[in-house]
Amino acid sequence: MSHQLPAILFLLPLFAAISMPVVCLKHRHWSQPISVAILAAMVLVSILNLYNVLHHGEVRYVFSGWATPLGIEWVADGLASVILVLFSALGLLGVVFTGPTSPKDLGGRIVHYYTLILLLVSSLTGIVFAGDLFNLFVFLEVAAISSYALIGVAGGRALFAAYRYLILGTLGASLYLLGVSYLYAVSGTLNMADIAEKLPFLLHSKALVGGLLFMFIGLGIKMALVPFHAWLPEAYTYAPESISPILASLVTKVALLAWVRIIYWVLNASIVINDIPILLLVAVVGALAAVIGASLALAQQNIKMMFAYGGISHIGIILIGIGQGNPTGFVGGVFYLLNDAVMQAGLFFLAGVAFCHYGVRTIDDMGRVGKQAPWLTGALIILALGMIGLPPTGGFFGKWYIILGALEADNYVSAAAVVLSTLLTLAYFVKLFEAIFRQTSTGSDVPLGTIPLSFKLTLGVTSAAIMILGLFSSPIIQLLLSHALPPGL
Amino acid sequence: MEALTLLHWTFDILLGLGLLWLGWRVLTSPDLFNAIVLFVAFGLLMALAWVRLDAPDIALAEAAIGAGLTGALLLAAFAKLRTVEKNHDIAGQLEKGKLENRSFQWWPATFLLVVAAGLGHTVLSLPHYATGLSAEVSANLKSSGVSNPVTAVLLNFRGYDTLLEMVVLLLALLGVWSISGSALPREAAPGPILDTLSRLLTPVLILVAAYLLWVGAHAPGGAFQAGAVLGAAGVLLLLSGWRLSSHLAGLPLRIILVAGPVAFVAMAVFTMLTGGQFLEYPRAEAGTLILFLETAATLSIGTTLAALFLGERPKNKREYP
Repeated sequence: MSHQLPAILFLLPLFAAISMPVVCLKHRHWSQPISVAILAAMVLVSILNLYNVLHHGEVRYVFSGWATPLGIEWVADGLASVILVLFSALGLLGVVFTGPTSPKDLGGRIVHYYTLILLLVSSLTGIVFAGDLFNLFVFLEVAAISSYALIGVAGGRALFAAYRYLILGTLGASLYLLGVSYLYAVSGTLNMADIAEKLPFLLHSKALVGGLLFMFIGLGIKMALVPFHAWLPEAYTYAPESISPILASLVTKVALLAWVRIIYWVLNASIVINDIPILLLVAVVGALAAVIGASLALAQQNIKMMFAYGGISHIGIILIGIGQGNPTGFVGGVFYLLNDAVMQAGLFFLAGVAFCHYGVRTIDDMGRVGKQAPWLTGALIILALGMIGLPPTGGFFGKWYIILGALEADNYVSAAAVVLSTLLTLAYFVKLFEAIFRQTSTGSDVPLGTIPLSFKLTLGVTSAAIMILGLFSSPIIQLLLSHALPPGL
Repeated sequence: MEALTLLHWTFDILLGLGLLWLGWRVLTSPDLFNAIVLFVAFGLLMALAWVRLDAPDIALAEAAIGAGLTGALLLAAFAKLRTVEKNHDIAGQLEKGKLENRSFQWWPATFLLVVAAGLGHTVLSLPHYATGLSAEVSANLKSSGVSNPVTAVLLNFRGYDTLLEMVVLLLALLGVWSISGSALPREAAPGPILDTLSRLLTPVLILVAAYLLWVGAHAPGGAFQAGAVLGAAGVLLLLSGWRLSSHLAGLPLRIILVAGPVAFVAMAVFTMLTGGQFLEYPRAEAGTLILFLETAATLSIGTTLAALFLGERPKNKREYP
């Protein structure tokens, strides 16, 4: 049965999602518990899958039983399996968080809400495992359409933000698809491993380079890479409080992961280092995103907006690591991706609690609750340590390896960009803490009440995870070095 | 022979120019209604272009979905826009059907120019005739259960992608339902022309859908085209004032909407439990199983498209999710 694990990982949320409109028609309040149960099961199965992959090597799952290149293949390798454990756990936390924070006037639509979340999670599984360029496209679309709808649920300004996201996201998807069709025309196959085999003989082809560029721009829009980031801040800010954490921690990261797959698995390390200067491009756009994103975050008043720009800058930092072309930088980038997924979830959980429980939206409002909200302030301190990258958080080790990788590659500009973005991150968190401890208005007349268990749980688990990722960084990095490196790096 | 080639060339050049001209008109037309009508015409010409490119399956899909149903959806959106806009300030401009605020935007224009330049620069270096996987497909066609290569790819070799396409369609409907309200179905009596037309056309459309579904096994056709035609029948009925009766609007409607994806998933689970891979049909039964999946898919696609056209969630005494 163990070779079926990747398919089971996908079937669990998918089957629950498509049967939910029927099953929950009469009992709409079942939809959250069902989602929690399904995602908990998914976490277990993804751990089993990771165990299986680590002990018996990668699993290549062929759908419909037709051998590649005719059929569709999934590749459950070390990288995908590690990431999927974390992503399904974050999905589970996200759904736990939806209980008290979902919009109150959903009525019957609550069932669609959970259907969309489960479909989003199942599409993330597909993107992480995809071994076929067209299959990856379909999954990107499932992820994107469910994101548009989930953002739009909040109504009002969220509808405009979701619409803008839809237009840009569709442009990105079209460009990606165009690139895929170029690669198909040149190589005659859609399977990633198959293209990788044929590619060394096709390097002279202009169409290949054009196709790759189209794919990169398309995915760049999906991962909100500067300068294609315009859709993200408003979309994540005006999205329902309960949805922002899932979107911010997972959706842009999987588009980035697709980039990594194409750079290192479809192309391969020696080609991107020696023949086509794509890695240099990745490192440069990464540096730009890291610095520009962090500077824009510094200019924000709305805390969700600030965290959203923070996420944009962290995409850049991950890319800097990926773009160094050596194992140290690559592993640093992947480790930072894991950390960033946790930190983004934590930050938006925090913003959600701040708004739903304390009515806080802007930095100035933060002063009002400051010392009366130990969970909020405690989580914020740990998140800030992680975002800035101070030991012993995971953020520190991620940046450490990325900078080591940059120095190893004699790429001082990249290293400087990481440091500069770190200083800017420090600056915007100082701005936030200053507002809290200045306590402009005492505001103690507002009874705050105890915060719900699910808030404590989500804030506590993400804070703990940031510390655990830091304390156990060396075994995790060893694991990534031995099981998640691309071939030839 | 000479004359025929010349005729082909003339036709193709006219077609290309016509597409460009229509595309430009769609983008620049100040009148939304005109733009929609032009867009439908654009879709029909595009279908012709696909025929010229020897891709009859795509031509069918483009005509039915690209021109037909997308046009219907755009018109439905246009009608809603008018009723909504009456209560708002921006209404002034849309009331007349005019969009005044159309300043030229540099950033998108530059971006598109760069993309177009990139396309123009690289498209000529593509191989003139890319075989792709067609050799593999024809080599395995015999054991796929159908003889139309397109259906073989969609329902057998890459059936898993098709399952996801079904999910995308369901997602689109759930997305619309989760941001729109719900409405009591109100029947209205159609005018005499619409009444006669719908009485004449609906049975024909249903018959055509069934034919396309059946013929898909060995000629252009299949679930998506059949579903689109079925959806068109639904749109026609909705236009002529018919509404789903309230005791069918709850559970029965939901069951039909998810029937397609659920049939695929059930088949996948079944094949996995019997020792195969995800959606690996037993070779002997493949044809029958494909027909079964396509039937469920056609029903779901048709119903989903019609429900998208309606927009709101239907409800009766209580509100359905």
